[in-house]
Amino acid sequence: MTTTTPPPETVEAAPAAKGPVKKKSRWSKPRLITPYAVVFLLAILTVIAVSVETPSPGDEDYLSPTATSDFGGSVLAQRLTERGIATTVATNVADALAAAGRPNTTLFVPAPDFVRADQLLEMSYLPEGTRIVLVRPGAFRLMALTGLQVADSRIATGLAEPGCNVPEAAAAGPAEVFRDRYAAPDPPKGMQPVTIGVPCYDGSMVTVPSVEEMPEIVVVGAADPFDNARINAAGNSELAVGMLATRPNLVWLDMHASEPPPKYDGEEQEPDPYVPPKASSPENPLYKAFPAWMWAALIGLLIVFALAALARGRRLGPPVVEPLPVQVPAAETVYGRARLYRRGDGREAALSAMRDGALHRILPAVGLSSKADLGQIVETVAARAGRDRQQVRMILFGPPPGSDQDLLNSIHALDSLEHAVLGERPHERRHRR
Amino acid sequence: MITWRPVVVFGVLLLTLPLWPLPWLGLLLYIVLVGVACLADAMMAAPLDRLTMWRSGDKMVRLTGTATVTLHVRNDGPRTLHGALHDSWVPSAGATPASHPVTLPPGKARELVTTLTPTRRGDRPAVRVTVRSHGPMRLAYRQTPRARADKVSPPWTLRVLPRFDSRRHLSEKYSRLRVLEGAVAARGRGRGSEFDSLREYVIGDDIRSIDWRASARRESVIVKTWRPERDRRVVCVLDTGRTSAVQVGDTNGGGLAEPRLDAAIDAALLLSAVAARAGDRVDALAVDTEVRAVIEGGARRGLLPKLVRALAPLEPALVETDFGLVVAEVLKREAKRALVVIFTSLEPGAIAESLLPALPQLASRHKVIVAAVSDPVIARMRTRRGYGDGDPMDVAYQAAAAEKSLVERRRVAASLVRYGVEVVDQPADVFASKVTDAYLALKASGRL
Repeated sequence: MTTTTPPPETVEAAPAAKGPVKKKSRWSKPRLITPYAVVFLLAILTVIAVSVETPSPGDEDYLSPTATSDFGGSVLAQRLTERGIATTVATNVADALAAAGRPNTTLFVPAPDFVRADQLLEMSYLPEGTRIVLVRPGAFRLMALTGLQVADSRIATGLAEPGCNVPEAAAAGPAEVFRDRYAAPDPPKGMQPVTIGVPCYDGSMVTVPSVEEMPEIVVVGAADPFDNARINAAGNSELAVGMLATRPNLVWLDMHASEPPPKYDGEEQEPDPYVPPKASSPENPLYKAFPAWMWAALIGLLIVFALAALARGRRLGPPVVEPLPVQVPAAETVYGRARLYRRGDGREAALSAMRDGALHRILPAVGLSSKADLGQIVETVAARAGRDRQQVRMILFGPPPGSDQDLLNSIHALDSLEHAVLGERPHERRHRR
Repeated sequence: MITWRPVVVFGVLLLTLPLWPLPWLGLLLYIVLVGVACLADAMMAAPLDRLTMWRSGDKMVRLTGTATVTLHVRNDGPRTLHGALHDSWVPSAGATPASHPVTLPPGKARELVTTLTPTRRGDRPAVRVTVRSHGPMRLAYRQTPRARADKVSPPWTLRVLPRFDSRRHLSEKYSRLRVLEGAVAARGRGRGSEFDSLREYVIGDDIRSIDWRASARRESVIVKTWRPERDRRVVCVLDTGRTSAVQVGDTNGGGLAEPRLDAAIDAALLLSAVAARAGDRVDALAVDTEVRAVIEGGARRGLLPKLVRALAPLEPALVETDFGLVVAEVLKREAKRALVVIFTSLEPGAIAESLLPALPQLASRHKVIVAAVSDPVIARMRTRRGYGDGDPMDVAYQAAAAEKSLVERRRVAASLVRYGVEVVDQPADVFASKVTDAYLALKASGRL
């Protein structure tokens, strides 16, 4: 059938219902996203830059009295010695506590977050004249030792005025300590706010005086006044030296990792032999075991796989979609109704439907109209089928079935009656249309 | 994008790595080498935007038939196109082959023949043509991106016409029609009530048809001949609502289950062919909640192809048919008395709520036949009780449900008959024939 004539104009085929045509705007998306992406990228870069620039207390050099790098504290240590302070360097808390047991000692803790909670408690049992200087303690240690909270935290250190009459601060003048600010926690409703210690530099240095035989504690919100890079700026040097030189002895806790927790059997703690030495292995020995070309070939093989994926990856034209027509399976409602009968044990409804159908076929066969009365039907059908009248009445108009077996029996009886009247054998009728 | 070749080339080159004093340098060199070669090859491939494409071929095919559509491609670019071309049609169009290898020198055109064996009735469109152009070394290729391919593909739609299986009944119906018209020798006069002509009496003519007045004017005995009425109107109304989507017929008996709508279209075509031959005017409407198709059979000649073409794209919609709209449309279009054949289903809900209220208005003006395809599956379910395999309770309840639905159908049919409507409720295999028989019976008795 090869026809090229257009369909005649009298034929008006209604257009197939179609969804609204999707309109894609090619440029609006990038234009919307670009400014946000730029801002997001800048923010990410800033955060990365700051975190790279900021020394971490975990570094070996961080405020160590022997380190001469930018983060180290060698200059500070030297100036303290010049002031005639006897400096003891401890590399673990037990040594530091033992050394700080002498009266009139300052315990300098540059990395308080590596001190364990139980050691913190021991720290607060140091003699009354002791001063503890903490640099940027975390929230938990700060709260445990002083009851203060970090009120706010800046991303970089700023210069601040002392604004208090603590002697070393007043002597130092403006210094770069304004990074973390400390304050007492907000009081519960209806209570007066309390002040803990003497805040200097806008709260970034708080001196908590000695109470009830506890040592005096000084919290400093930035590491800048102590390290080699910034110690010469503003009043940093005076502040740092002044803070640590109020007592003739100084214990410098130069610790850069947490200590393992103590054993609880009361024995003297041994150094844990299972802690692996923190050494970076310079080269995997496996690398030397094979020739270099093999590694190159291995990488080359990966590239081959990637190329193979590319070569296989593109179809010649994307798959085509097509709306499928609506299709309802045959006799779906009938099967559904049968399941409903089954679930609801609709024996009565099922049998009455069967009786309706049987009567519809029987009545014309015996020459009765559908308006014939019950007695007449029973009599005619019984006569035609050669059955007992009472039995026919029970089959056609009997009570609803009580059990599943009753229903099956009733249907069977109905079938045989119908066949008796219509003169057909069940199996014959089954094959007829 | 690359082909298999650079993969193989790169793999072979890798085998030479042990010979290099600096294998990493060698690897880098190979990567650059293969990359540059692929890039150059892709650059040298024939441009895709210089192709001109158009189609020719079949616009129509009967379902189960085969059509050919030719895609013409001309290369207007400066370089020879080596590559492949994928002519995508919707899956139900049954297009083969899916892709054609193409070598096209500049300025030359090629014809690519696609053979289509559609699996479904309706409009089967060509979707897009995707072209892949290889470089001279076959290392890399260019391919039309989807959006562009959608834009440049020449459109074509193949209309797949219904199978019209009941064609096999046509000759039988035509011969019955000829008997009705008195065109063939048969006992009795040509039936009908319309006066046709006068002719001389021959032995065997019904003496009741002797025209005595005419005989008196001549020397011989003259009889009147009659013929069935002509120029009556027949309107086929196809319900394309939700009930028309239900499939009828056995699938387990090896038969083909088709939607009720397809059976209705088949029957409407047979009826229209016979009615057109009988000299009646046939219109057709397809309606659910709106009018889907209107065919006004003005000229008798060519009615059937027109009807087939118009009914082919009809598809069932999942909506409740608005018979009020059906009646309004029929009353609007048919001023004269007509035979209205409504192809729908005897479903109690749809009929009672929508058709029955509108029916008196229609039945008072026109003769109405409601034709419904019944499902042989239900009849078998009813008689299968007690013999089925599986749970006897399931079989019993299924028989009861089938009986219930038959009772309901009868009830609906009875309520329709009360309005003077004729109901044809037959299984799909004889449906078309029975509907046409109902028409012929009406025609024979002069009740059109």
